[in-house]
Amino acid sequence: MAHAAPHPAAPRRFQRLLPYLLFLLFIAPNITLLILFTYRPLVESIRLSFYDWDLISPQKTWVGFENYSDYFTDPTSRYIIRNTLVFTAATVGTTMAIGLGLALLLNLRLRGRNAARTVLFAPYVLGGAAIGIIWLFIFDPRFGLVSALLGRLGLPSPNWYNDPNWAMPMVIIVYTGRTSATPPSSTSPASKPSPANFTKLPASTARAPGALLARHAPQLSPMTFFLLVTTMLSSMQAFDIISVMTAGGPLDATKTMVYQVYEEAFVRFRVGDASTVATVLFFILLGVTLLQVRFLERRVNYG
Amino acid sequence: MTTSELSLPARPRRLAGIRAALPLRTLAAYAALALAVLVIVLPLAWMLTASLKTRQEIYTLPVSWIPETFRWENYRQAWTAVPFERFFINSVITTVAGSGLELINGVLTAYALVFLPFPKKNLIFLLVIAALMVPFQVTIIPNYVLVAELGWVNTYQGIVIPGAAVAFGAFLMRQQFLSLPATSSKPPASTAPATSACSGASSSPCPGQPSSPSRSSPSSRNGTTTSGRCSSPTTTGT
Repeated sequence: MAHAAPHPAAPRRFQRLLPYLLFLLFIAPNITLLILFTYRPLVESIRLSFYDWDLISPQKTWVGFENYSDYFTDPTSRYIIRNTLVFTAATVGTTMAIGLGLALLLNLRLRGRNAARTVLFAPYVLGGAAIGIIWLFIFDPRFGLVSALLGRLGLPSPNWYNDPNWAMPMVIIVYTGRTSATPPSSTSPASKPSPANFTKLPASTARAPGALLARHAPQLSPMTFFLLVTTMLSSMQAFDIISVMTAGGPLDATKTMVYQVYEEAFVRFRVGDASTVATVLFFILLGVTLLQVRFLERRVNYG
Repeated sequence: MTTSELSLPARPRRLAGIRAALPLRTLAAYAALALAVLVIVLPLAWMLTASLKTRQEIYTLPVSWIPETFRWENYRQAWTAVPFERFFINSVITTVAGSGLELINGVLTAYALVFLPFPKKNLIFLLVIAALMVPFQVTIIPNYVLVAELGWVNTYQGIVIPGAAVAFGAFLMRQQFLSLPATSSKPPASTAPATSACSGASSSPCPGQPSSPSRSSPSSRNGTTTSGRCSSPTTTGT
């Protein structure tokens, strides 16, 4: 405003434009970094999906849509897509349900709930690889804690690592155990009784039955929407726990699309195929998220 | 509706409204909370005790919760097996720098998306959250190449800068800002850039801001305050 001209119109126009300029100023660093380190690689990956490349040689061979036709005719990729959907549905469903329950519990005035909240946040701090390794020991069919508990009930322990029917449940349990404690504890602030506080507390509750919920659902829906979108996106890209616990096995039983991307690119050095899977995965995620933004956010109440 | 309205959101709904059932319900709530805590704590406790055991003792049945002998040398071995101090310092530096930048980026982006006017803000919002859809595995190689071209291999900025963009945090903050109650969404003039931007000189209100004298604070009467959400398309509900 130092250069406010004697003109009355100039500062006024400047003033009118200022919020727009501020908008650009505020988003510029983030958008620049996103374009540089996320979207540029994405475009590059889409480009590579039309080539055959082994990651090392200077030669990339143009193959057109061959990677895609291979991908969509391969029964393995259909199996892997199915795995991804099973994993995502199970983990998102349980995460939202348990997250809701925990958020409601933490919303009650129970003694020691702040301590409980801190404890429940611990898995989030620990990181997926560490959690995966701990739970590998715990699911050990002979010496693990789980088999000891099952043994006490007189049940035999399934061979979690090697049985294709049990490996996926194991991975789902471990993944959900980590994520479902996160929504309530990460989104709830230290407990002070205030209405604003309550809106944040039961993070994922908007869709649950109960009149108390119904009454507060409008305030909860922004956070629920956020949790639904983000848990779905992260579930479909879950990598560390699967990588540490099963490496996609046994017999591809826990192989998801993102693991396939990793394996094709960095184990088999077939970058074209990896990029094809990554591109398909990206468009699936984009489609699902667009649907959520389109049809769910319309029903979200931003008070 | 009325009976269930009285009920706490605890499990046994059939007991709703019965006053005598309240302690039972509280008990159930404690039990559920204890179970949840146990599920989290048990593996951690196991990890802690296992860190003091011999490998042999880890693989013995039944699971022992207190090691026969506390092998503190496990820690010394782990500490000296790798340059642990260096790793730790690296972690601290990259974490502080990285999360600091992410915090700034996230808050600024969310603030702009919620409180500042701009055409097609929803598309920009999508551009931000679409970053959550790009698998990490896709970005590794192109980013390594770029970092190498910048001469940043084996530097802190080589780790921090590619990770400084934030989609998750911006999304979280946006939801948080949007759910602020209408009254508190009018920030005091001193803290809100949008506000101070408009409090420049003249009495003209901010663009796209129909001033609502009935609800506004004293300071906004002379048009120095924008009401919270400049032209946010989602706020018309109430």
